[in-house]
Amino acid sequence: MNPSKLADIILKKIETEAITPKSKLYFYLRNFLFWGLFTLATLLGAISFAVILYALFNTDFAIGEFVESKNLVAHWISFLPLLWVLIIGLAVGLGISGLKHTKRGYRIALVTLVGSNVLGSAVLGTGLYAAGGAEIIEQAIEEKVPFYKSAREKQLDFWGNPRDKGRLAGKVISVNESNSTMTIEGIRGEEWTVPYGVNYPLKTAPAVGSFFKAKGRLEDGNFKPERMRPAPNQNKMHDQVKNYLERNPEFRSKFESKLSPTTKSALEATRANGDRPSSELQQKIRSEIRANTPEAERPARGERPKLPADRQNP
Amino acid sequence: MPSTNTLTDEALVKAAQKDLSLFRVIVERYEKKLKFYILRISNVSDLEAEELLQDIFLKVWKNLNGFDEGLKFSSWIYRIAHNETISTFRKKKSRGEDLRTDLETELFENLPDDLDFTAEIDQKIEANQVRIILDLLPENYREVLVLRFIEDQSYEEIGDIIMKPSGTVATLISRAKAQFKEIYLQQFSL
Repeated sequence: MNPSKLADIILKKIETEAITPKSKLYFYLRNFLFWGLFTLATLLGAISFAVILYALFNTDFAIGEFVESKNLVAHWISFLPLLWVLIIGLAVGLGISGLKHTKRGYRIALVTLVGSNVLGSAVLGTGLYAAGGAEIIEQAIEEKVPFYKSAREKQLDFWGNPRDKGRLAGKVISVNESNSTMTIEGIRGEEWTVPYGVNYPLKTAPAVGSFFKAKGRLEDGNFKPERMRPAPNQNKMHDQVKNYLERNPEFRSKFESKLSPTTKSALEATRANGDRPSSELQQKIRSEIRANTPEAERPARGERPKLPADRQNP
Repeated sequence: MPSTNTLTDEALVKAAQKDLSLFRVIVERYEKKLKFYILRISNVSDLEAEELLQDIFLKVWKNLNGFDEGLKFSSWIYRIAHNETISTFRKKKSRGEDLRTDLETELFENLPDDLDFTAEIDQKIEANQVRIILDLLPENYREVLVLRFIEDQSYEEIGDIIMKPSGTVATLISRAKAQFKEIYLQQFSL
């Protein structure tokens, strides 16, 4: 076959079958789509990175003295945001694939591709975390996705069930030196009477407002600590969980339905101003909720109202 | 209008996008080069290489608007030829056929010199031995050796053809050379 013969065959085929070149728009869109895939993957990676940071900074890993040593590693692993680690891996893979399929993406070395993707996700993710976006994302997902367990929920599970799990974390809200007890506000907002003194881990009266973590058991409705230590970093988690519970619509509507119109409007005015309720208002809220809760549903002595039934642990 | 012979490939592509008859010039310029390339990297027959060429040029025509002007046209058209050939070659290989005709004995005989290998073993390697060794090499090693030492392409051009970074091309060539020597010593060295 000579060259002109092949050219004749090809040109004839193009003409008879009316084969036309694909449009420029097709190639433009194709390239755009791959850049879009890379951008989306980087954003997804950034979101994952932000949530991972959030989970790591809001998880207390120093739990050695509060669990059986054989369960320690299992607890640590359960605290890790493994789903997001998986998502970040997928995002990096997608990003590399997208960038590699752009016009000259194949010229970029794999190390550079992975590095740029991870770095992009890390920088954007850190920015997102610093701007408070991670908390909003976690909250939105935990409200929409039934099986999703946020860092907060994991901490609630671990520290928020003194009755079942014998672990209590919270803030000292009052100290009664006459009978050597303190009142600790737990992570779910409930109050526990906890003794201190020579027979207990805490020998002297603690300062009101300080945070503690304890392992112990319930006795006559009081929490008897066996191990206890100050937890100065607990305040952040404590506030976050409380805010979350208060923001939770189901919890809020249930607890607000027990308030008098005056107290409710005072609470709404406080929230509208972006303030936290004063201690007098908090006291009023507690007593109204207690008064308006039927005896059967009323919490045990020393406790405050609980989460709705479906949000409690069995 | 200048003669089509004086037009660069890139200028021809632009012109062919508006005038089909100019696509003939592209076919004529690359027909022979691509046919030899197909035969060098695969075990298809002469006839099959010609059929493959038709498919390649039709693909070039369909994708003419996708030609990246930042590349050399030759790299782009070799890339299409490479992809089509490899895909056909894999099917052939799975059927265990070898329908290749003899060609360019001299080019194959020169390959060991290009690999700085002849002086090392102080022995002449026959063209058919070179071909056997190339056949025994993994596909990615064979194609970079052919592109570099028989097609005389630069690392960057090879990268554009096989769509890999230049650094990877350099690594592939270096490993391919090492394996070429190893296979020779195993198969032919007395």
